[in-house]
Amino acid sequence: MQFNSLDFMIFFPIVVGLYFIIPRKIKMYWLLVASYYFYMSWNAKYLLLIVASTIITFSSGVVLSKTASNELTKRKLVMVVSIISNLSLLALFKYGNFAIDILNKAFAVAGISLIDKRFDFLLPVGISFYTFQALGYMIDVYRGEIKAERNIVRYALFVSFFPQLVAGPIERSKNLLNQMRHIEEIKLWDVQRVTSGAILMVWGLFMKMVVADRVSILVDTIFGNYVMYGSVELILAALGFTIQIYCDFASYSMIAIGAAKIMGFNLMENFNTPYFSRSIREFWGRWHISLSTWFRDYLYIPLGGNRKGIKRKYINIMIVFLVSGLWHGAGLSFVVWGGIHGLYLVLGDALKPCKSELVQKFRIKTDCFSWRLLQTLITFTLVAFAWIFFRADSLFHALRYIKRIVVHPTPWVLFNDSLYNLGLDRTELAVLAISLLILFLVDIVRFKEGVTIDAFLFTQNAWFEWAVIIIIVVMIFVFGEYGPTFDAKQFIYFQF
Amino acid sequence: MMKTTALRIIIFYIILLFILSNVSHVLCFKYSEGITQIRTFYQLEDNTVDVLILGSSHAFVNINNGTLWDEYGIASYTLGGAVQPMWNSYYCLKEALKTQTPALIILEGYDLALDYEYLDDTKTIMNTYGLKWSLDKVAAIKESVPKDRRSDFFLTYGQYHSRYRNLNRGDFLWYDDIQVDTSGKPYFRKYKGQYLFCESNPQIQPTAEIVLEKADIMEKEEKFYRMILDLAREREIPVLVTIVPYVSIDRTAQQRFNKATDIAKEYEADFLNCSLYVQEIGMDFNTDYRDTEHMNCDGSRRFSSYLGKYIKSHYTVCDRRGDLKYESWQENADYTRQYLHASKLLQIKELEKLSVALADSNYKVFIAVESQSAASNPSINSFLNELGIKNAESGIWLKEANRIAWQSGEGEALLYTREKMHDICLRRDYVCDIYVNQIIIDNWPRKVVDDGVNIVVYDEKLETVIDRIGINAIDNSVVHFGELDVF
Repeated sequence: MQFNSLDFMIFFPIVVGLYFIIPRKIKMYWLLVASYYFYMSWNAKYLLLIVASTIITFSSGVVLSKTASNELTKRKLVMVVSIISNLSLLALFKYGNFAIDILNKAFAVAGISLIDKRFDFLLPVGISFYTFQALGYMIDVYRGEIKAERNIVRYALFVSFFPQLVAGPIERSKNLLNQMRHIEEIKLWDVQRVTSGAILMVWGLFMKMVVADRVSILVDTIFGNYVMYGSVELILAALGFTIQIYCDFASYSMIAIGAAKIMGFNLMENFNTPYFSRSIREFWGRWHISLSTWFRDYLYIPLGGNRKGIKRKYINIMIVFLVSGLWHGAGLSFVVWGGIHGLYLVLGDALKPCKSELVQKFRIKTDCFSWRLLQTLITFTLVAFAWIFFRADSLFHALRYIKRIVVHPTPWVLFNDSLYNLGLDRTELAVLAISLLILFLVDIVRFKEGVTIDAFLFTQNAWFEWAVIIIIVVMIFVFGEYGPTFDAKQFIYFQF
Repeated sequence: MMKTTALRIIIFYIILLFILSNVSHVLCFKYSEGITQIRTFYQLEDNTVDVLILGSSHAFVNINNGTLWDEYGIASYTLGGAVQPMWNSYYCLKEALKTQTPALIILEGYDLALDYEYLDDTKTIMNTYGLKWSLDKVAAIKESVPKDRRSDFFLTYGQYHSRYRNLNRGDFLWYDDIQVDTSGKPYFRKYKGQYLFCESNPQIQPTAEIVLEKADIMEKEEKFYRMILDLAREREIPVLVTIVPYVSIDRTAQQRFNKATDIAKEYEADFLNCSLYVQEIGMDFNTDYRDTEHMNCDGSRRFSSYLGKYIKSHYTVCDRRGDLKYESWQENADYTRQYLHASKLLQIKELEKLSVALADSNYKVFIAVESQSAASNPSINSFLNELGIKNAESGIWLKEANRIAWQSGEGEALLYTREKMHDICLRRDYVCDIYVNQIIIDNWPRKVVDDGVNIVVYDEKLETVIDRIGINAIDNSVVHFGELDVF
């Protein structure tokens, strides 16, 4: 069940309502039942996978806690077995067919048809997220950063907590599991906290239903038939997808954080105005923060990070981003997308001295709005360009798409009525423009004031707070993409 | 502190729900093929409806409540809907009987000939969305929609929230006498369910074949048909099942109507197949029909005159004329009569008759004359003289209450009027060395002829533009673009 579905609108109040009134001792059990039910609503039999991942990592944690710290070989063995088991599940279900395709393509060069069958199962929703979350816990236990959890119910809840189960944030045991260890001490009846959570959920629904699902109509129209369009339309669609993926993904995290907050849990922030970044490095500190920090802590640093010389640092960066690309999808275009970002970072770092020299030589002012704006625009353009690879159906189509931008200029499209034939008519474009303005304002507040929308509203007068919330709610009801004529779109990151 | 917080929360939710409710009112469907009939029905005083009419558009278009009142004082109400199947008629009846005790139920039986298990989404909405929420509405929706789609219809907001793309003036006119439905067609707020047409299209008269065979009615239709008759019998209300004459009636339909007649007899209900009595009724298939299924205003008047006579001679139904409690029926009849009168204007082709018709004191007549026509055409000159326009050359005029209320002089001129349903503007502009005269309705220039006289007629009783007329200066031909059925 998706967050913007009727099923969830019924499920969530029931779960929260009962959660508030049942005895503290059984709250954990209730949330676990609800979380498993939530997961089973996608595909009941795949519950076995999440249970398997839970048992493997829980058992590993227990074994590690019983193994002395000087028994390094044994400890490493337990960790490696656990990692391999978990990643095998991920590899099989997510990358099985991709691996077959790669092998077949490689052997096709020699005229050999290696494997003619493919795995016939759906990708279990959220597998990339809960697998990483469970692995993160197990590595934390190995490193001694957290005590192994002895209560399997509590641990199972940590892995499967429904608000963040299928699309993150990828939580850390030090944060979420610790909170769950004190579940009985949570002060439930905190009006401000509950209101705060509700505001975040409403804002998330606005981002998803009013912005993301609306702009996706234009994006799908153009990407679905890009050979019919020229540079302006293709650039618009790329920009549209840039907005879509941000709103889609950030909205899920927002709803997840809000839902968890209502129940008294604080999930980590996952997006912090990424498109206001002034560098690709900064972008990755603001985009899918839970994943980027996971890769930093569990892959980049173990590989050596930047401690083994500049060449090794660049290699490590490329590895991390290629893996990150692969994590996002079983396809070459995703790997290329990750590789492009790795390249951005490597080049950005390598060219830093050169850049400083140029700035000095041309006496460019760097402590001013115009410089910051330029940096932001360049970063945004680089990110938007990379998204083309993410969205296109394949690497081939992405390259063809980019080629058409260059060789088929169509500036007149901006001046005749062609813009209204790209899936969104005048009214819809007007609604989109207004909703983008609201999105921009909220993000500017976050960027400048450093507070999320709920915290910002609490510092204002009641009339303003109420007016903003009412406007957003009414816009969801009126302009939200829902109803029987609407083809409900999954959150983009569900496919990962 | 807790009390203040609780109070703030309550006030917030009240404000939010108030705003959402008003937004819902603007966005909701206002189809007058079912929804407005039910909504207006709820505004009636309890126990005022003497004759309750149920059925498809054959009922709510072809049965003229105004005529039933004018000629017989019958206080009738048509609770019909588009292709209203028997299950929807049943739930409408159940709803109606909560507040009304009619002396007679007329069940229009066209649907007995059909085979729909379910209607399409739009017609389902038309037949159910006007009902107030109750177990009966839930049952009506359940009966109207396959199981896997019911949630689509229970969440009404999900169906109509996207209407923001097509809102019209009528979505914002909540309390005025003239309402406008979803398609933009105006209707009288106190109407009694009839959807009026003025257009006339000649039809081929169906052969009055006597069919004796019987054919089974679709199971679901028959089930609810019996339930309607059963409910009426339980409440001791007589039922008249009637088939309103329509053009596309065929043998299979007649066979099913024969079967329906037998069923009606089981419940001691009358069955009147008016398709067999078109001669007696006096239906003129050249002038009385808009299409193969629906009569125009004139046709419905003729048919209802016959129906009313039948009702009076077979049932005990009071004559409510003169009773102040039934003022709205009188008002509705006045409106319907004015509509019929307006529809006659659309048929006038002679200039002499046209000038007489335009003298109606209820009309605001907007006139734009091009110089060539007035100067050289004596017939048009004479016509304009009759309207009160002397020595007409190029210009624009407004005739109101049968006198010239405004006219342009030399040079450019502008008159803007804001009527209930429309903004109408008379403009005279000097463009490229000539004067251009325009009548603009709702920001759209409306011209019927390029060389001649263009006229827009606004009816102050109906509160809408009823006709756009063009008189061609070359051959004096009169062209009408009737606006009553255009929406």
